This record gives sequence, structure tokens and C-alpha cells, in this order.
Amino acid sequence: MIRLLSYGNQIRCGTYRLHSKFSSAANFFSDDAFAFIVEPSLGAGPLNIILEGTAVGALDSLEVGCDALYMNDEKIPLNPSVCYDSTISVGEIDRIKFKGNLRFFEAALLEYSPPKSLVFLIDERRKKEFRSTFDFLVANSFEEGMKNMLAGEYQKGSEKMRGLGYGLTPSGDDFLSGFLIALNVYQEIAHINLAHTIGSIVKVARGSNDFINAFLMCAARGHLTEKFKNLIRALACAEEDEIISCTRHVVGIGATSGADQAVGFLIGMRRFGL
Amino acid sequence: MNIISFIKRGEYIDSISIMLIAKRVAEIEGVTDSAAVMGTAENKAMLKASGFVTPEILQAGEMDLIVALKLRDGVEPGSITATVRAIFKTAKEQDGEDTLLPQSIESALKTLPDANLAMISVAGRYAGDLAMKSLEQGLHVMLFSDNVSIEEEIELKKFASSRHLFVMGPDCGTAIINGVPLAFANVVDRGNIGVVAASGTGLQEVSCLISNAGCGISQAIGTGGRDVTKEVGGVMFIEGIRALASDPSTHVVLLVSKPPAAEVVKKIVSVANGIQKPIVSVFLDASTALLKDSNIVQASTLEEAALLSVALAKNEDPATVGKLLKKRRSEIARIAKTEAAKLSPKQKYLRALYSGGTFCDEAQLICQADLRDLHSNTPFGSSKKLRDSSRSQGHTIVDLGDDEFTVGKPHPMIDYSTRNKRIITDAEDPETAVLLLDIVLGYGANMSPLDDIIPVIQQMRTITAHQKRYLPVICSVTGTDRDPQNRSAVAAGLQAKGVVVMESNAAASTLAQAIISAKER
Amino acid sequence: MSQIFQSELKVINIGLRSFKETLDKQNVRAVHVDWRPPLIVDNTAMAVIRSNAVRIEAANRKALEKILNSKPVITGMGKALEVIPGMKKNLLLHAGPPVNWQSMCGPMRGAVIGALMYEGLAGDVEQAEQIAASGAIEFSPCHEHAAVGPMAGIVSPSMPVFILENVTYGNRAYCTMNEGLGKVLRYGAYGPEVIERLKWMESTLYPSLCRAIEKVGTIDLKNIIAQALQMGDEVHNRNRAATSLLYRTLAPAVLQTSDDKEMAAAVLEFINRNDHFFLNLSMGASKLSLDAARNIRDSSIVVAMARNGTEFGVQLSGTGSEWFTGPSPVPDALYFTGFTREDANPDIGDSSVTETAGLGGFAIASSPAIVQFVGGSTKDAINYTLKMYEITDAENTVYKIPYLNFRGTPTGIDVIKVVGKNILPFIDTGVAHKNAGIGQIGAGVLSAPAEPFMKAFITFADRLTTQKEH
Repeated sequence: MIRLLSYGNQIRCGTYRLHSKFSSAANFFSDDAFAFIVEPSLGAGPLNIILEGTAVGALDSLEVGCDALYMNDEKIPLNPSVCYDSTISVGEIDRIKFKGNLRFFEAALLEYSPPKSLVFLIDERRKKEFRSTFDFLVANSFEEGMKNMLAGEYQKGSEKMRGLGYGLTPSGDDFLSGFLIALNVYQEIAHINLAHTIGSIVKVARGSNDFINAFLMCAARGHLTEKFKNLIRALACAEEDEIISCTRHVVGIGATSGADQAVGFLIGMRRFGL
Repeated sequence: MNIISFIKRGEYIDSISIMLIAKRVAEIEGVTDSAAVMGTAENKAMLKASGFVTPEILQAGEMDLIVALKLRDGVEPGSITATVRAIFKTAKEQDGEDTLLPQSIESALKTLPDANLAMISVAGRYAGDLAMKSLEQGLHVMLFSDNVSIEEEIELKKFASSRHLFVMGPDCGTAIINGVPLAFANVVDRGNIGVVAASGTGLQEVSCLISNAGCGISQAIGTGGRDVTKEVGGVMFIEGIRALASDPSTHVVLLVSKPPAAEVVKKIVSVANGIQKPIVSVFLDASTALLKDSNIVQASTLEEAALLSVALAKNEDPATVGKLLKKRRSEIARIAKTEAAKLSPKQKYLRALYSGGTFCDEAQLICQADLRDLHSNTPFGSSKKLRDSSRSQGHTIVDLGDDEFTVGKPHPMIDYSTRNKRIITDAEDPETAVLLLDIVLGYGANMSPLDDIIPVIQQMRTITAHQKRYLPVICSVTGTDRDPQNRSAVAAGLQAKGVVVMESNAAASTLAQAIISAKER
Repeated sequence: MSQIFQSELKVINIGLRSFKETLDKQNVRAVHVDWRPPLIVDNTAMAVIRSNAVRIEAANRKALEKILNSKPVITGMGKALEVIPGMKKNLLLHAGPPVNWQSMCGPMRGAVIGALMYEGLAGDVEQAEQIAASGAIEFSPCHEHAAVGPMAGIVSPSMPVFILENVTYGNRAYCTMNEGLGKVLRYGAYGPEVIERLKWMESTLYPSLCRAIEKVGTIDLKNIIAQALQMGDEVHNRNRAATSLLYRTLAPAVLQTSDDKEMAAAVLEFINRNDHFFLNLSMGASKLSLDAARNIRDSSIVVAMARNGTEFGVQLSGTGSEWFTGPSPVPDALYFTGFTREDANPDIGDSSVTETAGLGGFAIASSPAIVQFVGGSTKDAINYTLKMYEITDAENTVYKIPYLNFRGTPTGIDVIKVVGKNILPFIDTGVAHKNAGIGQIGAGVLSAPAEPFMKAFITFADRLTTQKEH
């Protein structure tokens, strides 16, 4: 018996096909839409489905209806009480407290991030991890891109970052999605509308790869994974311990994806003087 | 410069595995520069800027994984390709990892249906049964375990040869099959010399010397020391020779053993006489008469055997080896003279402390030529048995790897503590004239030998300096630069502390003996 | 011989794990075996077994064929005295291997007391104890009378029992109706409410079910169990799905054959409220299949594992009616509030017959809910089942595990494998309080004790030798 523990609010209806399968996630697609069936350890997300009573690896088909999921001939009703709300919605954020808390986040990020992640952008010494010719050139391009982003030259910066680097979702794309999350969070803090900025970054960052686009578009629209949302909430209203713990959870996503996204977020915050 | 690339298309690999692949390909010997990334336009541009240009990379799509490598000049892409494939394979497997390990040979075969070798290192009383089960499943067996009864050994080997399978061991410490060092083995180059050895240390020594001399090993088959006794009858030794004879990549066959039983030597000779390939043997003092009418080239030391094999493998005149060794003897005599001059009148005796059993035998054989009154816990040739294994007496050559020292302790190749204590005891003895040691590198051996031996060398120097003596320390280091410990680094570390490092045990023993003889004159 | 030189080296490593790690570093395919020394190191016994391997294998194949081809159905009901072979007025059947009054554990004594009062043989507890100790009452294992009973497993002459028949081989098995949870006879309770319930079961439940079964014809237990495994049961510790399926089969017939609506409702409600109603039937079905495989010469397949609360007993197909026993262990359990391990009785009951037939703990991968109940993870459940494939000779052809891609449950415990691999059968079970009448205090898992299997193995090997000499 399969039990539905959580499903994201951004999952589109449709008949999905298997895209790829990893030890803790099975990725499904339907046209350009994606849905991810993940192990509980990965946490909820705007496109995540978490199940109990089945192994991720055992699933081959997925159909999302308006009130039920169908997989491997089993119907699972979509119980609205387990729908994951991926919007930022953390209420009023105190700018001063948030800024102070970002320092704890930065320290934790430096301490817990994997060596070969974009964390070198905030800690020069890490650059030594980038040894091969390719690594070296990639690292330089990231540095340039970061300077552009900090200077508000979003188009230039995004061009240098997108599609570049390591992992299934290249580091640069992870960085940009982190940056987009920062813009969305700043909208909440400062009560301003950054739709134009977000749009200009998305225009450049969006490529022909639907898998990566799925992640980017969620970030652009302000839809966060549970782990990132917990981090934002902790930055808004919690103490050091919890911020460290939430940072560790984010950094633990993928090989370097979480760390890369976190760096993008931090740089985004710096852009706005936080 | 050679650039090769691999494209993984259509199968997605998660980021953690991609990073692992990137790390592993960068570590491949012969790879100078590498990248493993998804084929996005940006990554491809960056690869191009880094000098990686191949048609495959240009064609890769953005959901394809690109692995690009630059190879050092002269490195064959063929072997690298195989390694990269293997890396892909393991990365993929980790993806669907299952934490429950198989608990029997049968279920392991379900996981790895085409397995062909069982490596068994459980306690001896269980090992025989497991070996039999493995043979029944059609697996070759490497039996690392000792304390398997001779009856079981005979039964296993009879059964194995009826099924055309190998049983390497019991008590087989090392082997190299298809270039893969097994158990306690060194990372040696692949080549065309095949070895059959009933001696683990002997196999390590010859394979390293061959590799260090620029040749390589095709296969090295260990049989366990008891195989060449009358009771077992050399079953696997003979099978090994036959297998190498029919192995197309083996051009020279090298046989290594302590003296086999006469019956076994006869069998070896009769098999060898039917083989066209050159055969070299080192049987440490075996009656040479038995080998007289054979086509086997005899060597008296492991080193000579290795060098003769190298000469034959390179189609050179074996006589060059004799010249080379002669030249070195005179050099050794020169060093011996200088060292002997530094000794005090009281310093008379050789003290050799071995971790390798075959080295202990070989040293006794070499030293017996000139030194009388030789003692050992494992007497060989004309040596006498030590009254007390834990105390040196006159000239002493001791095997610290013998059972009496290793009960409940790791082997002295791994744990130096027993020998370190003994070094101090012998250093304190005013009659000690030369300390002779061996260090064996490779997988399974002590991973940081210098950290463990340098402090005791320093302590020893303090003692002798205090007593206003000089005590020469001679050491052979069995290994290659590709071993995890790196032979050159270990040798340099020892030399920095005044240890005389020789290229082989034979050379080290000859020098030690020469110092004593020079002193006596 | 030199073939290996031409192929890729692939290694099975048994012993030092570092050798496998070294091979990993060199990208050589290798599998490490999580090997454990056998329970018995007896090279002569091993040699005897090896030299008779072909005969043993053939015998085991035959035994497995019988277990797998068995088709248990319910054909009807009857009074124990009238239907169970060898049943007598002064005989009480009990769970596990033979045990006398003096050696019985608390819950079993309690159940004996309750049964004597239920039968009207004793007026009160004191009298019941006296009679039990006097020798006037005989005791015999259920297993020796084609019957099985959960926990204390007491079957007394007047108790109604289900009659199960093996359609393929014609043998029969008998089991009582499950009383439910709380204060019940099988946990050693003997208070008035217990006796009253038993009386109600005899006077109301029994005739009603009897009529209903007659109406339905036969009820296919194999089919119900197969379906229940797909629905999260392992039919030992969880019988919710199987009970529901049985209920669906019986309910219309109960109504159709009853002219008293209230009574019919009470009967159905009794089954409905008891998630374990099916347990006795899954045990009976298992017993029926295993009995078909008894007495096959040279077979090392286990045909009974049963506990009487003091000892754990094992029987093999190839060694006839001999019991091999050892002390029964206390399960590793999650205890209900207010109870601890100190309160637990050693493992008790015939219910491990389900494991013997490839269900229960052997099928626990089908029932993640149970593992959670006893404090494990889904992964643990899967690993328990996977491990049991190591000691069984076959995979069930009908009972399948969805999670393992519908692989058949591990079936047919081979004592040679148990001893050789040192892997003991895994049982998930309820835990009884050590004092009579308190009832279930937890649920847990345990490995069967080694001793009975070692004894069975030695006797089995001995028999092979003597047979050879003849």
C-alpha cells in the first residue's frame, strides 16, 4: 500500500514519462513539465512527490490527475492536507535581524560546504581545489560572472554563469537559481517589485534543457524546496544553532548543488547590501 | 599530447556520481589534465579553451556527460579507455546501491554472476570448506589463509586440477592475475614474464626487480609453500607452468621456490623440457644435479633470476647478467672496506632481522659462503638453530615473520614493533657489527614504513654514539615507485638517516657479509 | 586453466575486507561476502553431507514440490474431540514440542487452567491445578495431531475447530477460532469473561460459521494469503487484510444462513473487531503444506518450528517425528506502556509455522507496517526477507512480495544452510507476559535459537552415515 506523504504545489497535471532514476529520486517529465518522486530524506519541494510504502526505484509510470496520482496501476488520492506550500510566505522580515543572521549562514556555509563548490567565490583560498586547466578557466569565468551580478550587470553575469560547471545541473545554473531566490526574498523584505530584474535573468539563464529549466523556473517564481524554505525562515526569525542546522541541510543537497545555490543566494543578498 | 574523450549519452548520472567520476579519472596514472562535465554549450566552449577538442565533444548534447582527458606522452590510450569504462561502471553501480551484502558464495554469484576468482582469507579451519565450495561453483581460488591441513590441501588441489581450476595457496600471500595485484602484492608493470612461485616474498622480490629493470609481469601465480613438498607433489606448480606455457602474452617463464622435493623437481624438469619458451628458475640451493639435463636456466639468487628473465625477455645475452653482477661485487667490496674501517675491534657479528621468510633463507645461503657459525630460528643450509629465537647469538639471521613471533600479532611486514625492539637489543650489543634489514612495500604491507622505522634508527644511533661505536645499517626495499608507499621515497628517507639501501636482498646480504669478512681480514 | 588470463578478473572476496577495498581502488569488479563461521565445524559431518549432496538435493526438491503444490482450503468445522485424530476426553493439545505440567511456563499453565474450567473438568483454579498435576490429564503437542495453535495453543476436546484440507495431497489440519486480543486463553487468561467468550464461540459463533462455510462451499486459503501479501500482511503479526478478505467471503453467507439478525451481526462484528481472526487459519494453511512434505528420506527441510514457552522445537522432513529442542529465547520487542523485557515470557506458540512455510518473518518485506510496529525501518524489513533467501531452497510460486518485484517468498528452510551459513530463521511475533492471564505485552522480532538446528543437523548427518552403511 502506497501512502502519499507530500506533493508539491507546482506539479502540473498530465501523463508523465520516466526521465531518469537515481538512488533517491525518480524524475518524470511530461512535455516541458517535471515531477520528482524523491526519498523522504530529500524533503518536500515544489515539484517533489514523497511516498511511503514503495521504493523510488520501483516506479516507472506517473499520471497526475486533478485529485489523484496514478503510478504502477495504483491510484493515490491527492490529499490537500499533504500538499506542500512552496511559497516563501514567512511573514514580515526584520531587515536588521536578517542581515545579522546572514553572517551565521555564511560561516556555516564556509564550514560545511564541499571543497569543489562555488564557495570559493566567497573564500579565495578554496580556489586551489580547481587544479586542471578546465577547472581554472571555469573558476575565472565564475569570478567574472559574480562581479557582473554584484554590479547589477545581470545579463552579462548570467551569460557567464549559465550552463557552466560541474554536476547534472551545472554549478552556474545552481548559482543563478540561488540568486533568483535571493531576489524573491528581497521583494518580501523591502516590499518592492523586482519582476523586471528576475525576468531579465531568466531570459538569459533559460536554455533548451527542460530539466534545468524546471529548477530555474521554480526559483524565478519564488517556489522553494522545503530545505531552502526552512533556511529562509531560520534567517528571518531563528537563532544561530538553527541557522547552522538549516544551512547544513541545504549544503547537503546533491554533490555541490545545494552549496552552489546557497552561494548564489548569498551573493544575491550582498547585491542588496545585506 | 594525446586527447581522448568519452560521451555518456542517454543515461543520466547523478551529480555525486559525476563528481566521483571526475575525481577518479583525474587520478588515473598517465592522465595530466581532465574534466568531467555535462555537455552544455558553455561547458563545451570552456573545454575548447582548455585545449580539449575532439569530434565527440563537439557533437555532445547538453544532457550528455563528457569526460575529457589529456594523456602524458607515450601513454597508450587503450589501457586508459578500459580504466575509464571501469570507473563509469562502478559509479553507475553505486547509484543503485544495496546495503545488504551477500552472505554466501552462492548469493555473491547472483550479484556477480561471471566472477572467476574467490579470494579466501578466513581462519584456516573454515577456509578449506569455503575453497571447496568455490571450486564447485567453477571459481579459481586464492587461499590466503594458513593453517589449512595438508590433507585438505591435497584434496582441494586434486579436485581443482580435475576441473581445470587454480588453487593458489593455502598460505598464498601474493599473486598478480591479469595485471591485478592480489592480497600482499606490489604494483608492477605488465609485461611478458610469467612467474610461478611457491614463495610469497620471493614472488614480490622478483616481480619488483623485473618491473624496476624496465620489464613487466604477465601473470604471477602463487602456489603456497607446501605445494612443492613430496606430499602435495607440486600439483599447482606444474599446472602454473603449463598455464604460462600456453599463455600467449608470456614469453619467459620464471620459477621461484625454496628447494622443492626431488620428485617435484623431476616433474618440473619433464614438463619444462616440453616447453619452447625460455625458463629461468631460482630454487635456493636445490640440488643442481637434478636440473642438469633440463633447458631451465638456473639462478642462485632471486635478483639473478629476475635479471636473467629480463635479459631473456629483451632477447639479450644472459651472459651480460653475470658481468653486471661481477661488476657490482667489486663495488660492494669497495663499500665494505670503508664501512669495515669504521668498526671497533669488538664488533664482529652480523645481525639480520627479516620480515620476509624467503629473504631470511636467501641471506643464509649467501652468507654461508664466507661466514661460519651462522644461526637462525629457521636454519637453512649449514646454519645452526638459535638456542633462543628471541636472542642473537654469533652471526644471526632471524625470520621475525615465523609463527613463533606472529601469534596474536600482525605480520612484521605490517607491524614493525617486534623488529624495532630487536633492533635496539642488537644495537646495544657491543659485538654487533652490521644490522641487515628488509622492508617490503605494496598493498597489504605497512602503509607508512618511514614513520615507523626512522625513530628507531635514530634511537639506535644515539645508543651507539653514546658508546662511541659506529653501526652500519643495510636495508633492501622491495617495491616499486607505483606502490602506494613509493619505493624511491622510502629509500631516500632511509638514506637520509645513513642507512645503506641496496636494490635487492641479494645485494644487501652480500654487502653485509662483505663488511664482516673485510673486518676479519 | 589459462582461460582466466583471457577474461576480466572478477573477484568474490571472503574474509579480510581490505582486500576488497584494494580491488576497488584498482577498479576490479569484486563482491565482498559477509561471511560468518558455521554453527558447527565438523568436517566429517560436512563431508558426509557433501558426498550425499545429490541425494539430499533430490529429496529436498521433492519436499519443496510438495510444500509449493499444496493447496489449503477450509472445508468445514467440527468439535475437536470428533475430528482431530487421537483427540481424547482427557487430552489437552498445546503449542510447541512436548512439555509436561511441571515444565510449563506461566501463560501455558494459565491456558490449561482455563481450558479445564471451560471443559467443566474443574470448578476453580485450585482444582484445575490439582487435576493438571495429577496425571489424569494428558498433554500432547498440537503438531502431533495435525493441529496448530497460537501462543499457548491449547486445544481442548469441546473446542470447535476449522477443518482444513490439502486439495492436492488430501491431508488435513485443524485450528481453533481466534479469540481476539486482550484477556484471552491463548495468553493464559482464565477469568470468567474468558470462559464466557469461549462458551459464546462454541454456542453462537461456531454454528453460525459452520452454516456459512457449508453455504460457501470451500474457502481457498492459498488465494486469500496470496492477496493479503499484496495488501501489507505477512499473515503472522499482521492479518488485517487477510481477515478482511475472509470477512468478505463469509459475510453474505452468515446473513443468508441466519434467521436471527442480531446474532448474525454479533458474529460478523466479532470477526470484524479482531484483526487477528485469520492468524489461526494462516497457521493451519502453513501446517497443511508442511505436513505434506514430512517423512521424505534424506530431506534436510524443516517441517516444524514451534515453541512451548520453555523450549523451541524443530522437526525435519528426513528425521521423522523427532523433536530437536533448545531453550526458547525472549524476543527483542517493543513493549506496550507499563511493561518491560523483565515481564516477557520466552517465545511461545506454533505461529512460527508461518515462517517455516515462507510467510511471517520470511515475508516481512511485504509488511513494512509491522517493522515499524516493532521499531525497525522498511529497509530492515527488506533485508530480513533477503537474508532468508540464504537459508531456503525455493521461492514461493504463489506468495509474492510486491516490493521485491514480486519475487516469491523464501520457502523451505534447509537445516544444512542454517548451520553452514550461521543464519538463523527470522520470526516476528507477539510477546506474552510471563505470568498467566495478563496477555500480550508487546510485539517483536527474534532469530530462532541455534541449538535445535545444530542438534537437528547432527542427527541428520548421523542418519545419512548409518543409512549408507546398510
